[in-house]
Amino acid sequence: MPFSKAFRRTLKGASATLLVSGSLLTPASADAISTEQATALITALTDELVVPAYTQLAEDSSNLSEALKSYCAAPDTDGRLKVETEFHATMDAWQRAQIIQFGPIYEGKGPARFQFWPDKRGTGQRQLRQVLNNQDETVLPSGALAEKSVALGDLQALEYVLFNDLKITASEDSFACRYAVAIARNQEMQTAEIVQMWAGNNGYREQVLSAAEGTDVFFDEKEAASRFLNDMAGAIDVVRLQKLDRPMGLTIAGARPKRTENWRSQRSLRNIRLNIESVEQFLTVKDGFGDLLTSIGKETTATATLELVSEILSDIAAFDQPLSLLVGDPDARSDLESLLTKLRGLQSLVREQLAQDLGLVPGFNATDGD
Amino acid sequence: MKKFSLTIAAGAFLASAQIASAAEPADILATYADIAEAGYTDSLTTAQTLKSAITALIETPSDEMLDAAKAAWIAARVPYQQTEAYRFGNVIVDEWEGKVNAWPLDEGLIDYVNTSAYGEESDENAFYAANIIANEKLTIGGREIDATNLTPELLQSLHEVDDVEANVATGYHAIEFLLWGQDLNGTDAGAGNRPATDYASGEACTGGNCDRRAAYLVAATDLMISDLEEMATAWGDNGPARAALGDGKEGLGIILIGLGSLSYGELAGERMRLGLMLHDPEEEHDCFADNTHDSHYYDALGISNVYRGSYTRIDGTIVSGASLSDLVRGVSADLDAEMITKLEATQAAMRVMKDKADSGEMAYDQMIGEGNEEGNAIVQAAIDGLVAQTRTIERIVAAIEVDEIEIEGSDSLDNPEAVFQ
Repeated sequence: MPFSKAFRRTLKGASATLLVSGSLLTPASADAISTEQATALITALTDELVVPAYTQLAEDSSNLSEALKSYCAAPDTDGRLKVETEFHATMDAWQRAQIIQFGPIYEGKGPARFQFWPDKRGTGQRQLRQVLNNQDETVLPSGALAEKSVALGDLQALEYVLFNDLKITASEDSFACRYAVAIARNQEMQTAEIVQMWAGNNGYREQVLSAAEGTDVFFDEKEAASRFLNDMAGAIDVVRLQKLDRPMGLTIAGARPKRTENWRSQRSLRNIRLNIESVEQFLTVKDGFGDLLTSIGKETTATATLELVSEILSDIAAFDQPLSLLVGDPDARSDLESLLTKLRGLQSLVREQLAQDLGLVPGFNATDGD
Repeated sequence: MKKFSLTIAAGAFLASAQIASAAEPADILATYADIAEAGYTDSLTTAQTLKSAITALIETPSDEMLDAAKAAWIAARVPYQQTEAYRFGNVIVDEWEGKVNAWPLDEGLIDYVNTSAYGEESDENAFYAANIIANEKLTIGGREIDATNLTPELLQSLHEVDDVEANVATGYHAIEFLLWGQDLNGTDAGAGNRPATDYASGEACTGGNCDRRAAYLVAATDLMISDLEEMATAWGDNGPARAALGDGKEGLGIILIGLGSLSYGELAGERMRLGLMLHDPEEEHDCFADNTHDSHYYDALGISNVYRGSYTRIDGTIVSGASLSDLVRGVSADLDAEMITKLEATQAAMRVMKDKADSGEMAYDQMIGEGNEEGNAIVQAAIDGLVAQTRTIERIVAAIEVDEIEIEGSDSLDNPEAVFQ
């Protein structure tokens, strides 16, 4: 599980309470939104958010790949800066796209091809160290990383190679630098594939847009809309449990700074901001969840959700240290805990209120297991 | 939490399903609890048989006795894994489960390990190589531990010590490690190969501290027996787990949460897909015994048992009764047929995996190896089956909405409580 057993116990206690109160809520109404409204929603989210997010990621990872190739040929400070800029751009694009948890991203080895994290057993890191220590050339040929462990060809691996020890990529034609190029190239290729799978002829985009007719993937347009709702809730879940609660520990003594995401490149909070901004976009995009709620007379839900989202974003912006330092800082504890509480509130709004207002049923997530 | 909303949806589901179906929630829940009671009782019985085999091994540490103990462990997994469909959703089970089936473990906490394969330390775990069996007194991270007497209580206190989940001191997998030892074959053929002489006395003892190793094994087994006793009782008449199901409204939600969470996040995700993604031999559930294929197979069978309301006990008798399947059929015969088809497809895919491993041709850890296209495909097919059945479980939850249109204006919609009276 992405969060500690002890914390899970707390949640279980809470869920037991809700088990009882849950049945008192008015059941979701199936005809809350029309077929046309649901189709407009899933079309807007697909064309305005999903496809552009992957297209951006493809562009950025291609730039990163180029920047690394030039840098490795003749490593210098300018080249390094360029590489870092492009790494962050690619990571930004990935963190924005991370919210999408269905469709082509789940082909093959799934989203972990882009980022295998958290690595709770340290398996990925063990494999990565072996490659670097043994200068394992089998990772270098074009296409090789796609066949290997995801932990060797993902953005976490690239972060480790670039940021764990700056020296290893700094000498001309070093193994580490060539490996970094191979990872970037792997990212570039697999992202191009995802874009094609969504937007190409008979692509997944068409499956989503024609959901109302019933497709191989979707029973109907409500099921497709539910997937998007599920993704919003899932993104909040991941931020709350994996990105915040897990490194924070139950008490400050149990804080684990190295469990923060991307601490090596100091972008933990930036990732969280981008993830929540994606949730915000699901609400604010034209014909998105916000417009839909308003059109069925549920603007109070839309407003409440958006207000909570902006509050969370300004809380995140107010932190002035990296998250890896904040988790162990007694002065920051209450602010982090308050952020957790607000995220939990947002979670409930999306999973319960939005679902109920719209007559949608969010499903199981990959984080449901242990 | 997703768990909340599913429960809420299931509550709504019930309100409508009640109208169309002959199966009463109370009857479905009674079958559900009866199967749980039988499953945990079978787990207890097979654990007691394991204890006898372990006692015999310690008295006479021979290869034959070690093999007999291993066979008893494998047999004990059969009923236990089928109970995993009860784990998620039932708070009492979920809080207890870690004591008996926590995984994966940093086995260096318990006994000697091969450091060139395992390493000597971990950023995540200060107890990574604590070796309780070799050390009567330990000081780790400023904490002193007196391990002179290897009692069930001591093992309990070491379980998840330092708030690290990989510190698994008790349960099936700790016992598995003490019987098999580390599997040092990577993704090549072969399971762990601990010599029986690890339990020998005097000069014949290998691995050091044989008497303490035996004491640890006995204590861990005794503890597991008492834990299983507790859970079998919890599902008996007037037991707290049975009582917690309530009068039906909440109970059906619990069943669905259990089936969906095990199918998807836990089995398809954490236990299977991760292994395929990492191609790493450590990523298998019963990694010391190479018994993972069986573990997964019986997990999937347990899901099917619960949905269909029928469990075949270790003595061959059948516990069955009103089922979720009956209720769903009352709402939509097509949906029930879809669920049965999906469950059977998963079973068939799991069967291919199990047969492949049982034949000795390819163990599970080989199947997940890099470049093993055939093996990867076998595991992927089982994952696909689990994911597909999860979608149908979600459809079962959502089916309610369709039904509510039909019964709009009825008591079941306007006054959901009325139909349960």
